[in-house]
Amino acid sequence: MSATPLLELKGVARRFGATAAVKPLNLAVHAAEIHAIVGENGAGKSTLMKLIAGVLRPSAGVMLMEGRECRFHSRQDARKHGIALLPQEVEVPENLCVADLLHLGREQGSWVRRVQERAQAERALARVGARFSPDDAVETLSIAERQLLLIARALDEEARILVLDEPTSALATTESERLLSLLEELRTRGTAVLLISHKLREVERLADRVSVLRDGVLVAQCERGAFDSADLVRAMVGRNIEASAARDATGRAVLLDVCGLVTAAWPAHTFDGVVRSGEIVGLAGLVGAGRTELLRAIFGADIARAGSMTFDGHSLPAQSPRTSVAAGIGFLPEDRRGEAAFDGHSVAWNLTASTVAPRRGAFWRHVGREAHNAAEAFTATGVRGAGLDSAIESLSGGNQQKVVLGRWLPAAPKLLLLDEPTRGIDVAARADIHALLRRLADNGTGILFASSDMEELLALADRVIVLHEGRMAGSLARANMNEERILALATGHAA
Amino acid sequence: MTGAKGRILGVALLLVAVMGATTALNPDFLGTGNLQNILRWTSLFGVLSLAAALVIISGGIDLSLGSVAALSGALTPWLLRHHGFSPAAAIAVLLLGCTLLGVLHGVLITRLKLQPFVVTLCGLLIYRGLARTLTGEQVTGYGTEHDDLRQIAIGRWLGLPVPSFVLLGIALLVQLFLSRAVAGRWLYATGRNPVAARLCGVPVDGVTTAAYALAGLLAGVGGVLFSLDLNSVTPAQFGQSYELYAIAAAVLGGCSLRGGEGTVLGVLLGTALIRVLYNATNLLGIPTQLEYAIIGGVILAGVVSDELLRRLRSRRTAV
Repeated sequence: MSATPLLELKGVARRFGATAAVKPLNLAVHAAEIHAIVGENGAGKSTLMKLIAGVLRPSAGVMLMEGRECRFHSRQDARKHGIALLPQEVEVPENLCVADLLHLGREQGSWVRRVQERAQAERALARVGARFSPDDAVETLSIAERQLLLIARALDEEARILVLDEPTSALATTESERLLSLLEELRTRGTAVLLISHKLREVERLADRVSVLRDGVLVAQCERGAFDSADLVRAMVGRNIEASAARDATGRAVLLDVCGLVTAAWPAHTFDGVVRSGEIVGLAGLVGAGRTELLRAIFGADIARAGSMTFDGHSLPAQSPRTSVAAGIGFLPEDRRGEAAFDGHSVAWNLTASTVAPRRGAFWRHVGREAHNAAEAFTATGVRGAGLDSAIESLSGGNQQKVVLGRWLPAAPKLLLLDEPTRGIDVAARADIHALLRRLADNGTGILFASSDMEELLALADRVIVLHEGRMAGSLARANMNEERILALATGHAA
Repeated sequence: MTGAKGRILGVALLLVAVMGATTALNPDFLGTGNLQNILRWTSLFGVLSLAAALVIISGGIDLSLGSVAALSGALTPWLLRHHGFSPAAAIAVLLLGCTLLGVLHGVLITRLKLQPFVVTLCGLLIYRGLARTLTGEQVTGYGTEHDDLRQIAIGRWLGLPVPSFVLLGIALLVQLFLSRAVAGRWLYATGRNPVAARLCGVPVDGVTTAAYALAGLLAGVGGVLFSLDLNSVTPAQFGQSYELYAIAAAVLGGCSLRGGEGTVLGVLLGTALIRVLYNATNLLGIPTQLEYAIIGGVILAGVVSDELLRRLRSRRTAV
């Protein structure tokens, strides 16, 4: 394509403090083209999208709209230039009706003009082939319908570039199909589509051009017909990660045996798997593949639809965290602030939050033992830069993570279920946590952890179970584990 | 509990300041009779404040406390004099009933996921109506037969009002529960972060229900004490808006409505401050119409200054 691109990035980069999320890169987006951006978790895709959509401002470089330099100071600003972002998780005020939402924030004058708005909404919905009415309440719409609604709104605002961040990650197959057809149709009408996707089949089918990001660098760009999925996976990986010393748990006793577990998120798929004592098992998969749901169902934080579990030789009626904790299972949730930390309380208090009762059914606390447990867990986790009496919110993220993980140590759990144990924390804290987990496993604790971080999976896991859209795509023993294989399974590329 | 000590100190200073100012303007404030009076009323209200505090620490709110107190307060003389109950039996039955009302609130809140505000607001209306209907809207009292029993509320021991010993006992028990019992720590955990508490293995539903049950029990105790003190219970008015005083005292004493925060000592000081303010408006000849406005103003000033101090501190630590 020789015409002036609709949007052109020249040397655009973005730093967060000392880390470069996106290194200087050039990128061109043309009208009537679907441009896919692929890359691993953390490769900088979402940051790039946010730069384009005005959510973030670049630290360096310029952006040109039809050859003219422009700077976006906000998402609204980018919208005025015709760029609309559809985020990965669609958050909308659910209590409104469709027509209201279509016009929210861009009403004409001080009064709501119901009749005009409704008519305009009908036209906008017809353009995307939506089957719901402007009068429907947004809360009655499915995720796919909400996406359609937002696309309709973007088009109604005369968006010329649609930026979609993993739009099909939460959709069922037929819904995905409908969305992809819509994107193809929009292309014929001249809209440019920037698509982030982990699903390489989608990319192969739709994209006129693919850009591959790795560690914030644009490592490859190819046009339709000049690539296949295997090329993309190779380009996305591009590096070798050394695995740590092998640990062998194959001969050990089975600690957890999950049989036919069905989660509410993926009712069509069952999960079977075992964790041996002293074994570290990684759960790999893309965002939304069902890893969190699986861990929560095993722990009893969410009710499983079906399935049975045997734990330590006994059947586990794991229907509440309380019974799981009593049986000797610990759980580290993904959202530290929301689901693990008790702000306003001390490090010692947080370190003993799972072991308040000295025995099951005890009425009185054992304050002396609590202090002892807190001190031991504090030493074992290697919390730095704070004392036992510091409020937990005064600690860095990595140290907070050590505390909420360390609260399981006094309980001496037989099994730990960890959801993203080191996400968003610094390298040193991460190494500490990995060392701690290996020590625990050496002493016989079984560990099942979900991670989006390839390096972490390869460094920590003795075995990796890969989930793809709620189903077990495969299981890789340490000897067969490598980034390419995991990614291929996670993207649904390999059978 | 990082900010708790500062909060207690703040309320204590405010209490001393108000007492000092009132004394300066009217020395009668320090008269034995007046101080006895303040102590007695602080003790009676303190029981309700502790009830409110337990629920607030659990992350909820209980608006029904005044009506529960009215139910137990109005029905005690009614059972004694019209139904021939012995004092022990009457009080036992009523306290059990009040506890069960608390359990009911807890179950509605945890099982049906109803909002505490709504559940206890309905409680406020229902129990008031029940108290009025059961007693036939009659002013009830203990007459003269139960003067022994009434000593619990009006008597003196060691020169101090007996209710202050009752409150001291209850406060020590609550303090012991909050600081040493497993469920006490669970209460703080549940109030601060119920999701995290559940994932730590805390039976959050049971803990929440227990908080409402204890609050019901304490409100029942408070109602009995108030009725013994007054000896004349008008079911339509008895204990009206006491729940608001109790909540105000708890908040003033450092309980955050976000939950998971609060100390017994702070709540007692908060109660005392409210009683002293009430007493001061009387002594200083301030029109009684202003009483609510003054109490409200002081509470507002207290929480505003607390919040400003908190921000100042966090800004300093952030730099």
